[in-house]
Amino acid sequence: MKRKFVFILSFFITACLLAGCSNYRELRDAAFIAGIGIDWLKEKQRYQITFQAFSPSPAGSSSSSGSGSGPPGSALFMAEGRTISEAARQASKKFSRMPDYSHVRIVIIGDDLAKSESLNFIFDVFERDANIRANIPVLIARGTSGKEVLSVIPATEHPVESINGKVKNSAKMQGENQATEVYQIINQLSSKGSEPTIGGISVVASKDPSSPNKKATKLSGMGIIKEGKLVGWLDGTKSKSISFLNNQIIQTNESIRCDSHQYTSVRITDSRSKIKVRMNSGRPEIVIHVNALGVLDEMLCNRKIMDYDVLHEYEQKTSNNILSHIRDGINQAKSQKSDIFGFGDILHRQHPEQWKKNENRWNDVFSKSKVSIHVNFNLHGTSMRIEPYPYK
Amino acid sequence: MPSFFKTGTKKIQSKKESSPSQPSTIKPNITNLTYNIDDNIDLIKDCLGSPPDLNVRKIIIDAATDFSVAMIRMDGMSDKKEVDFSVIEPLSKMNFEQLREQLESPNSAEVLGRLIAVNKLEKMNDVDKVVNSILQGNTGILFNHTSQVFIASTRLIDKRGLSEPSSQTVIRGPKDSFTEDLRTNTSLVRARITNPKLRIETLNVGEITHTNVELMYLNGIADDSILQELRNRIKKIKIDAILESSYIEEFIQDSKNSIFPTLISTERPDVVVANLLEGRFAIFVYGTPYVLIGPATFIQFFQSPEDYYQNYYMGSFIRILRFVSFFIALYIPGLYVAIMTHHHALIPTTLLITLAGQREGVPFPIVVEALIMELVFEVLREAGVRMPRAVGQTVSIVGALILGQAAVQAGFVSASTVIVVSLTAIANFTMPFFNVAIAARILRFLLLLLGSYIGMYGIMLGTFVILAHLCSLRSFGLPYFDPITPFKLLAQKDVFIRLPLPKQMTRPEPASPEEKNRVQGGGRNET
Repeated sequence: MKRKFVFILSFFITACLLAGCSNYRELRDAAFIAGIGIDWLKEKQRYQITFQAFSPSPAGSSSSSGSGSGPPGSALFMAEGRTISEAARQASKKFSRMPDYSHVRIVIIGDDLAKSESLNFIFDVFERDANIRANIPVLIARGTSGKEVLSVIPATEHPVESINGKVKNSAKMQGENQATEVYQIINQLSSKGSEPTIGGISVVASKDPSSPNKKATKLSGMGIIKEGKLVGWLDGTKSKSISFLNNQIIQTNESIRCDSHQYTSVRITDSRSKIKVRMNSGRPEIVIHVNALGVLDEMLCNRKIMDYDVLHEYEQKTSNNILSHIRDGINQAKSQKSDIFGFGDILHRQHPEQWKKNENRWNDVFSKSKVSIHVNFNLHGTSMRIEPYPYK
Repeated sequence: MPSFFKTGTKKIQSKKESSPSQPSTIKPNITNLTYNIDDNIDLIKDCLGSPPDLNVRKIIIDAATDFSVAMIRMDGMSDKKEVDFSVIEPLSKMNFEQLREQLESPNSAEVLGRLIAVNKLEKMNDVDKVVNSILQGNTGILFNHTSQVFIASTRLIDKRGLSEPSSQTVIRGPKDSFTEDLRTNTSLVRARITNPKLRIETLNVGEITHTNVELMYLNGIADDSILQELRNRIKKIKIDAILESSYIEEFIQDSKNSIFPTLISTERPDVVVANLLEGRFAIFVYGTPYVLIGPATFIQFFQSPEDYYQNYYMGSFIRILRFVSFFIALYIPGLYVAIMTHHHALIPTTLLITLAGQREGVPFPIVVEALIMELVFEVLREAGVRMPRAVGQTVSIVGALILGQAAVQAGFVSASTVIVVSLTAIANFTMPFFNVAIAARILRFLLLLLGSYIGMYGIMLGTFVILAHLCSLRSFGLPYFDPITPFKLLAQKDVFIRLPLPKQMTRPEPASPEEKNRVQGGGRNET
């Protein structure tokens, strides 16, 4: 009995020593950081970190449900430091609570930092620190700073939730802006065969007359990163090329011309791409096959949709649209010598020996590549109606 | 006769002999029955201390030969009418000549039995046995000129009628439950199993109370080695009194220090019957409606009789629900505290903000808050059991309104803690057997403290300790986690889900191996 007791006791003591890190923290002592803005102060040569925290509204006397009813408030505070961690620690002088990074929803990188300073190292802390996740979406504050973006307070939502919602929504509805998460950026930065793209967000004047705020945030384009620096932007429909090639299209829509001045809208519901890369006399040959499905979701001109020729024409036009998006995207990436589509990685997988010869000058090799794109689009429905309603 | 019985009587005797306060001047050292009726009456009276409820009726039948008869019985323990009509009346009218001659003959009880119309008539001449029989409510019949005492069984004790079970209720199923009377209880079972295989053995436990303890099993179906072990364990009990079957339970269970019960206690006859048919034994104790059943496995505490009385889809669903409830009752407060203090990252952001909002301005650390609320609930619950019926509403109003609503509004505790505590409390009541719920009730506090100390890691450690303990438990040699570990595929038909009855044609583990099939040529329905 005694020996058994000693055995169990020793088990418990060892178990407690093996516990690793754990920290007891009451909810009311913690400030939950929702968004982090990272900017570069050129004059001071320091990082400026902006923290956007959730501020739980205190349990009111009228309703005992706390902040359950309305959107949570936000609190903004800033700190500077030579490293991000230093800045985070500096913030304790300005904020009464322990910052808790486990619920960070977004990281916003200032334009200056992305353009002039390298992004290569700033993500280290996200992977190294146990308190923060590595699956946080990253955006670049296009033409502005992370601080400015986080300072825009929307009327109905927490600012960070608002940005996050826009990213998710846009990726789902349009496929132009994809959320790139920290770990993906790190993977692409460290890979020789691909470069990251990071979505952009800009501050625009709010045109909503009912809103008390004069500013609003708007997603704009995908930033092309080359060797850790922002070198250009893929804008508009060009940025769809990334979604098409990475099979990230959930839904998007294409407007195709149906007569002299009107358009018809096609909703793309499914898209699969297959890419083959191989070296041919020193130039990469990239063959892209895209298979897409879609439905007609708006017709602004009266065409006989039952007619096979009309259908075929629509399909053809949509295919051409998709093809042009992809071609334009790749052309821009080529001109900027940044393989944002990861063709290098594909070559690495498909022809390792060819990749070995070119890996160290891949971006230059890529810019000379020969690209052939084949798009096969099928209309599989016309939604709730077949023919448009008759009009005089 | 068990050995402790003898030692008990010895004690009484030695006390009498050595007692200096007893002024035993007239009849010193008379400890045995004599041929004098008055001496015998006095002896019995002495043994009992002449209590007011001792009724002695002496009739002088023939003054000339000094032939007299006396009836001694305990008032309130025996059937007065039966004594009047079946004992006293025939004795007063009897042909005493013939009887007197045969009193000393070996078949005197038979002769007397022709006169006296009672169930059972015995002859004895040991004063201790006579006193014991009288104490049980029988009537002692004494004659002059003989040392033999005739015992007529006239026991009748006021008892409660059958009523609905109070702690193990079902919607569909039998509504009768055991009472305090042992014979009523055994009859409730016997009426349900009209089979000669049903065996009852009587044992006597309690050096002072001499409580009747009866052991019931189905001969051949119950494993003999388990029964032998049970008899040995009951015989080894050394205690002065048995007031409830829990007294027996504490002595005979395998692990005396475990928080988990290894014997089922039930007040439902149908539960006893079902378990007897699975080869288990039942222990009936006089004076309590709770019957012990063993060997018991952990899973059995989650099996309600109703699982078998309703559609098996529903039965299975409810049983799984019960396992979930047990998990909730055991873990939720600990998990709540662990997540709220150590693992904020595990809470969805929106919920976290809501919870953080509730926590604003609450003065105590969350573990203290949870502990206080758990204790408050335990107090309420104990008060609910103990309080007089008339003030029942007061407690529920005070408990629900003041402690729940007002404490949150006043900012003493956060609303989420109240939700967690009440969820735990409700979940605890889904257990069909009360004693396994108690284990969850106590272990919950352990997990709560572990969770607040080192978070989820502590909960995991606590779980390992509890599981290791559960797996080490045995009930009469049967592993406590029986069909799960050691894993038996065929026995899974009645563990987490209940398969339809035609598929349940084999008996579970404790049944003796020769009787594995429930019906002859059984198992044919099984696929």
